[in-house]
Amino acid sequence: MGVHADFNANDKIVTLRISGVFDFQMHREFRDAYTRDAGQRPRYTVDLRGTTYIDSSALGMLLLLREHVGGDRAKIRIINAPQEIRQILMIANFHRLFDIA
Amino acid sequence: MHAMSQADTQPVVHENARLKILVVDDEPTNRLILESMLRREGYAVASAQDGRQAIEDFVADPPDMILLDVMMPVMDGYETVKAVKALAADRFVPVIFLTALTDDDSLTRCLSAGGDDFLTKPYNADILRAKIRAFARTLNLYSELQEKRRELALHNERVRTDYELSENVLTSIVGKNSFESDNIQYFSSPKAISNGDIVLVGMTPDGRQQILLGDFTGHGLSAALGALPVSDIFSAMSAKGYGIRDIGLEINRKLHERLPANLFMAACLVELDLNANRTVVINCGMPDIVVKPAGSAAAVRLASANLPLGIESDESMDLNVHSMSVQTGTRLLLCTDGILEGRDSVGAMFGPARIDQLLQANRRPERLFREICDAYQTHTQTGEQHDDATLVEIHCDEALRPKLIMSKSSGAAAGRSEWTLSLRLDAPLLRRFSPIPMLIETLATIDADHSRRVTLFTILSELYNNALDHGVLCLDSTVKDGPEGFSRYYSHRAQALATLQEGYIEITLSRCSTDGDTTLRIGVRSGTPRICRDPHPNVGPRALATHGRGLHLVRSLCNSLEILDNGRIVEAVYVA
Repeated sequence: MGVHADFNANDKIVTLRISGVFDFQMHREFRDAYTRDAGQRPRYTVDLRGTTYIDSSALGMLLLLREHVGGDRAKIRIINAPQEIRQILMIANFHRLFDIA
Repeated sequence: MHAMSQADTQPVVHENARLKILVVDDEPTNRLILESMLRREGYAVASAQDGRQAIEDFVADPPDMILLDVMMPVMDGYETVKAVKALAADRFVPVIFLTALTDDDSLTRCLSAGGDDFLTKPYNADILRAKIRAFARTLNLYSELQEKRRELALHNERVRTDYELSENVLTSIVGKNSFESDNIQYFSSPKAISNGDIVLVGMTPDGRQQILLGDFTGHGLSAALGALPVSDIFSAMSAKGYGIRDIGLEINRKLHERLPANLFMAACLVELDLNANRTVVINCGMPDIVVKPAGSAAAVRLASANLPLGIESDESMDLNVHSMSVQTGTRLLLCTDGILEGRDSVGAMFGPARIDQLLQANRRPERLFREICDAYQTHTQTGEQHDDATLVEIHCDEALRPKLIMSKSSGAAAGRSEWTLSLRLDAPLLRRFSPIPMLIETLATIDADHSRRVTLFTILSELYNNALDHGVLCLDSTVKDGPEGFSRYYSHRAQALATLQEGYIEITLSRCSTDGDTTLRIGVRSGTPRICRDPHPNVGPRALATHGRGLHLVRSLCNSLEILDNGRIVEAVYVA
């Protein structure tokens, strides 16, 4: 349960793995995870394989991540989203802001 | 507008340049002398030998001026001038008689027949030249005048069209909005509506009646421009169950944003909640609102305590409201200042004292409205009619009391309910845990349908959190902006929740089938004895941009989402 961050130094990509319920209770953990290696200016991937449920504050946190990386210039990938979660992200038009695999 | 023929147009001429002069004389020598003189002056010349030829020439190639002999065969000068002047119609064609007759009678006859001047033969060429030049100047003046007249006619036409358009718009707004309400009567002077008085009536889903009486500065088109957004905002918000104060603030915001500074609307806003025996009254720059209770109790006057709508910017704007309890039988009287200022033949105003008198004298309350209207009409019929005078009476009628609190949900009719689950959490439970995961598991068990659990979680948790944050904890969402804000908001929330003493949330889930479709109805109600200033700030379009994302998402996920009673009641319908 929680956020697990993996930094690949070769590609300079940070992968944030979310498992369990992605809601506001995770916000501190999530923020710590993406600010930790920020000095290296990595790219970010959010892996939702283990995510069971999301609520709207999760969307808010993703947007904060995006802002942190530079807003419109950010290229953040969201991968392995379970079917329904993927649908919810699409309905929220997040495919316009994130690269949803 | 009719097409203007060549003969009608008065050309603009400079003093000598190319004026066309027609010389009419039966003596060839006379014609020759005049022609050469005129050509030397720079005029264009034509000549005719008698009246009849003159008329033919006049029609074929209209001259600007005519030099006319009196004694001619076939048609003499007098007849000719009459004919020519008739043909010229609105155009000014100066006719100068050249006559050998010197007696006063003949000369006078020249002018009476229609001639503009005369010269006796043998004439002085210098004087003739001078007279022609003088007439040329007059011709210029005439053509300028004609041009101005044409512009004015065009302009008037345009103004009239605009006015008709605005009249149409305004009458359709008022007509559409009002009067299937039996408890409301209104009287308007003939030009009141097209001059910017509007009356709007709405009923919220939970049975509150809302009335707006507005008086725009400006008339006609400018009033119509203001009335359109006001009417749309009023209908939309009323249908969604907003309070009358929120409606007033939104109208103020729109008018302030969209219309120029000198355009605004004085207004009376009234909300009648017969279920709670309460009325909310807001007076923005209008005459006193009179509240007359049933029976012999004295009337109360509620004076204006706000600026008219559209003046103050949103940040500094607040509305002072009168909130009072009312019993059935109470009558409220609203009017625009045209009523008070209506004058009689000596200029005396109708005035508020007269209304007081009528209130005192009234014996049968149901006749009060009629009595005031009659008195007003009698008073003003001899004097100058004030253009916009409107009077509205709202009667707190027992029949208005709603039977149901939650009416109207989409597809509400013949649904067979398969099961209903209702859960009420008071403060102690709200402090301890969120019921959503448990509800989702329960749903999975009852429904044996696991397919949309994730989506349902998102929907339920959003509605629950909204109700908790705004309906019970009374938190301010705007704090959520930015990464710091986000953390701060949630620690604030945790604190508020840990110390929560009062409030409740009620969740109702119900599986219905209608015509083979099964739907899940979700209802979330919240309440707290505390005054939450803005119980549901996420609902307006403004909020969507910053932090209203959640409800927007829920709206997209559900088949319908209704927010009633200012956010205290939310109903969603979900079809998998």
